[in-house]
Amino acid sequence: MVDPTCGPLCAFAGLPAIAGSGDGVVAKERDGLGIARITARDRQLAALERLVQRRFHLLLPKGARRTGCGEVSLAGVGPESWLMTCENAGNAFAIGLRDSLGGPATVVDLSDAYVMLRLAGAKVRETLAKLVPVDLHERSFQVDDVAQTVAEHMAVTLWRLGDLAGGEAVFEISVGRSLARSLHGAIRESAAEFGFVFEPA
Amino acid sequence: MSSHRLSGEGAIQRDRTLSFTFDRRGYTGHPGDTLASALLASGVRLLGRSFKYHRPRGLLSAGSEEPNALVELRAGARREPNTRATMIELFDGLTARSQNRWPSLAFDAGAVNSLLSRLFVAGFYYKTFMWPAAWWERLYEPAIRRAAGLGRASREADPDTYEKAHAFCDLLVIGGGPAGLAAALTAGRAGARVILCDEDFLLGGRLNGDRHQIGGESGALWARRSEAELRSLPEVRLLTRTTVFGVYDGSTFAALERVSDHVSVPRPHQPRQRLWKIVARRAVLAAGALEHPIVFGGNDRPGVMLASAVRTYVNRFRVAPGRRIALFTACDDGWKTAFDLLEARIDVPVIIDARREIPPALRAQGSRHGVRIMTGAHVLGTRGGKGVEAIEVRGEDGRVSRVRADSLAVAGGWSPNTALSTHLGGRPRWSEAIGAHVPGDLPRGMTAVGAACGELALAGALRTGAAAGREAAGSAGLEAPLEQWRTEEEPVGFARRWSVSGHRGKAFVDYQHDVTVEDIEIAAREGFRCAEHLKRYTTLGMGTDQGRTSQLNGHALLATLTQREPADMGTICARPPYTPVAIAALAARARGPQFKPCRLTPSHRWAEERGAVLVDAGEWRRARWFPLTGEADWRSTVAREVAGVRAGVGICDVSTLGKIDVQGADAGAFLDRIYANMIATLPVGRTRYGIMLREDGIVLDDGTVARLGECHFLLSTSTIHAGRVMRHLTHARQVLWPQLDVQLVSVTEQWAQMAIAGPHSRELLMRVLGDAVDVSGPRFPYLACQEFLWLGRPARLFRISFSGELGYELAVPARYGESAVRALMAAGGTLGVVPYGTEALGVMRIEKGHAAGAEINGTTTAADLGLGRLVSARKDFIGRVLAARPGLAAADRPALIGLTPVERSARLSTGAHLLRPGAPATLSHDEGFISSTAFSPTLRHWVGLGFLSRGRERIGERMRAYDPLRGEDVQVEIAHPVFYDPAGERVRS
Repeated sequence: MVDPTCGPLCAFAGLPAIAGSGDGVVAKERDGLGIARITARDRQLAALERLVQRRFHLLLPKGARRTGCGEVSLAGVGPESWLMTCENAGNAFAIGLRDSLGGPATVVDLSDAYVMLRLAGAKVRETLAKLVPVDLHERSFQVDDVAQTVAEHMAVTLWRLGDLAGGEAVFEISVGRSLARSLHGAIRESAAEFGFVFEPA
Repeated sequence: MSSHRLSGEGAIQRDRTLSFTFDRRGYTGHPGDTLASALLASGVRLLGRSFKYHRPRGLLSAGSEEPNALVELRAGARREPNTRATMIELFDGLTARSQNRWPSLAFDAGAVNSLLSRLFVAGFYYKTFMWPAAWWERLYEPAIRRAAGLGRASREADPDTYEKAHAFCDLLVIGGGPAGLAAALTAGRAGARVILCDEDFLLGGRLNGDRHQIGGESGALWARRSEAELRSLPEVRLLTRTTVFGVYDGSTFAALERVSDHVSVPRPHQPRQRLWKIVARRAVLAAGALEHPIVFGGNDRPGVMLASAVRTYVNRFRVAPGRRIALFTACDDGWKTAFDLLEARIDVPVIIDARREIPPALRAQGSRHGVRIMTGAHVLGTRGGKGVEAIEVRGEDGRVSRVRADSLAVAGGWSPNTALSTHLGGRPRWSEAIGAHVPGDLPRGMTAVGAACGELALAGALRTGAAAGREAAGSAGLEAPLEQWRTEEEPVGFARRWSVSGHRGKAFVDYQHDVTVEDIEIAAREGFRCAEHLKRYTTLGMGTDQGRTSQLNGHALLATLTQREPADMGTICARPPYTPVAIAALAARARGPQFKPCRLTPSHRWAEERGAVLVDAGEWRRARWFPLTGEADWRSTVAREVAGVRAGVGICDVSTLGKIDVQGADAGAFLDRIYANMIATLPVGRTRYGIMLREDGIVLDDGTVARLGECHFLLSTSTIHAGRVMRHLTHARQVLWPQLDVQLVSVTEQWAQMAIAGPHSRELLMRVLGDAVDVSGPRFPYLACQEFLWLGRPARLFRISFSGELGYELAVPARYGESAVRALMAAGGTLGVVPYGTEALGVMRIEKGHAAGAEINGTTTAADLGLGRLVSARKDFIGRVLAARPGLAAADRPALIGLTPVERSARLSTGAHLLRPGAPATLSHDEGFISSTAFSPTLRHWVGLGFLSRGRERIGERMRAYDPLRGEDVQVEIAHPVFYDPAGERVRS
């Protein structure tokens, strides 16, 4: 039996860490997340809701909304379907979820399917406006709102986290792993005029 | 050349001087100037040559409607032809050249066309180049193409970048004149989200060009203060240098922001232009009105200028367009020009008003200045060389006199700028009140205000603007007080004069396309009575200015000639874009390597390290082959890779294949309806090949289905159809059978999947996977599949083969894909493992007779592909009914066959037609075609797959493979499509 010669590959490895001058947009790679898609089985929504509340102290968000408690978050991404994340849990998260929620829900591991960037900085909205056709005004796209949309022809999922202490907005954007370099390039170039800083995991 | 710059402030910064060149000669101007105003200030008034007759032309306007002053801006890679001098904001180091002239602007050989003008009238092309027909392609078309077009585009790549952005607002204000500012202020003060766009770099519109008073201060100052206030409002965004050029469905507007056009080179990381897509709850059309010239003889001579433009140059730019400027007007507004000129101490020799009756106040004011006033008079023509020197005037009594003047300001009246109101199909409506068209049916959510809706006086502009701003705020749930501003009374009387009868010399209706009164008369005589037909026949209203200064006059003339009223005549419907938009702005970042996003495989970095030649396959970038030093060409590389797989073991990253996770109690039943073959009977731990049909019976895609659990299936799709199949399944689940308990998730990105193929593949897997899974033949037979943990991580193994060899596909979480490849390569060293790319993959699948994209091409049925036996007769599935249509079930349909060249050294080419030997190469004898070809390193000759009518009955028959495109004609033998291991023993070994 051969041991692999290297560990997991960071999807953003080797990409430029800065563009322009300043830190108008700071993109931080969110690595190690356990990500699972949970979809309620037929007529099992109520059971799933009870289970999620008991197990994670979370209510399943209605529509394109997000909720979180501790290290776990849930984002509505489809009819009776959510993207569930857990900090630093990797593939083990979905395996565990299958045990706990597998009765009323289908659980599919997507920890490797997505890469995610946390975007902050004074010019984050101006930058995202160049990428996604979504109204990101604070009244329109509120904290914990979720959008499944496109950024330069790439399918992305975008959500807004709570503002920083200074009132600065924070977003997380995820895209299919194969598109990590393209998304990084699109954000980097769109943010360059404001100054772009990338913090790899 | 003495300066024409006047004293006083205007809107230029006199403390700074900018240098620029026009036709290689140096000039200076100031920040705040346009190229037009700076040239005018330097006494330059010959700026271009007309398109057809090469007549000398100067400035007509001071805005984006300019038909004449088109120049080439910048040089080299940044050269932009047909740029309007009136819209070029002056910057230091600007270079511009005149165009459409040779050898020089002052002496242009093309002016000989003027002598032939009797020939070049409307319809000349249509009538002249009809015969002899054979000359069209050889002579006429090349000659016309050479003569056509204006300006020279740069042939170098554009060095600048462009970008797109999205914006959303409660109110989009189109135009930053008084009406637009009033709307933005009213809504903005209430807290509404407002975007105000203006094509100018200075907000204020006519407030900058005219001398108005608002609330006791000058209009220009009011505009500055309003702008400052708007900039201070957090929810208001001001976009100057931005043209809203299109209105689209869903309250969507397109606007072009010229971010860096006013600097010589864009600042770092700044685009040259930005394309805005704006979604607005409400829109206010405050695009103002355009002044029309009056058509008379020699009305195109440099020095003849719109009266409002003269005022703009005087008041805003502090430039005297001439030393002695006569006025020809048909409306009260024109008189303002004379008064402003007199105020600036410029000689006004005469005010010619076409009306017999004029307001006494105007006459009194003119008389106070001692200006000669002629009422009921008309300008018949102009005299001069390359500029006006005198004008010929017919007085009310019919006597013609000559007045010495170096310029003539012409005021034909104002016409609302309705263009954006018609983009969604609205028709302008004739208004007798202003003698022009006003917006008719407006796009939903749009309100026209100010001059754009026919409110030509300032008070009306402010009033309607504020009302629209208040209404827009209200629609956003905000309370806005109705703002009121105090202004002075303005006379707005008019009498429409389109053209002057008895004019002397050529009288131009459309300056840019040299359309004359005579051309309109020809069109009328020949029956082109409709505005749109007039446009096509005479080119009136075509070109970069889209006839902004000519449409009304042209249509009114045609109405007169055909004994109709302008109201009955109608006008044209403008389409986007309002002003020209660079293709680069529409493409934005999507050009060159960034034309589209690129999906990289999990092993991409490793493949690059190994020097793989990459290929873009659909959305993906994949390794095409892995050349080794010393290999002569790609074919020898591919031959080595194929031989390596067939004799040993090879590895290929096949992660790009679509992977769909299907779970639920009804998953099996669901897939039975999706696939043409049975799926529900598949045992757990086994994989099956499947085909799915479209509703119309044609094959949609093929792939494998693995049953990972009782209620858990994993589908694979072709790379190219992955998205489409997911949509197909989602539609079936959500729309066709929502009652089924099925959950679908695309897991293509989750798993890195490596094909391990070749007789040593089992050995290699045993070395790599160790005890994680038992891959021995009896425990892991052909088409087996299993989930397991490898190094503590989930992994999946499938015994499937595309190559025709003993083969497996190993799936690991995508982030471990690269380490898995490295592990396989390290373990396979002593087995001679070869990485192989898409080309070897393709060669082996053709050798094996597997249908791929070239065969599953949207026209073939399962039977055509030789897969008819898979189609179940025991169940219903999507496509079953329509697959039985007579046309799709006909016995003589082309069927998949193999092809080999009779002459073994001959090459087969994809796309060649199959003809019987001796049959003429015509469509009626076409019996099929070659869909895929490859040189088979295994068989050492070319092989092909194709479709031939009744193909399967014709194995062994000889045909011609005729390829007129490449000039090839090869004799081929029809063969069974499976060239390699037809019994399938190797995959089962």
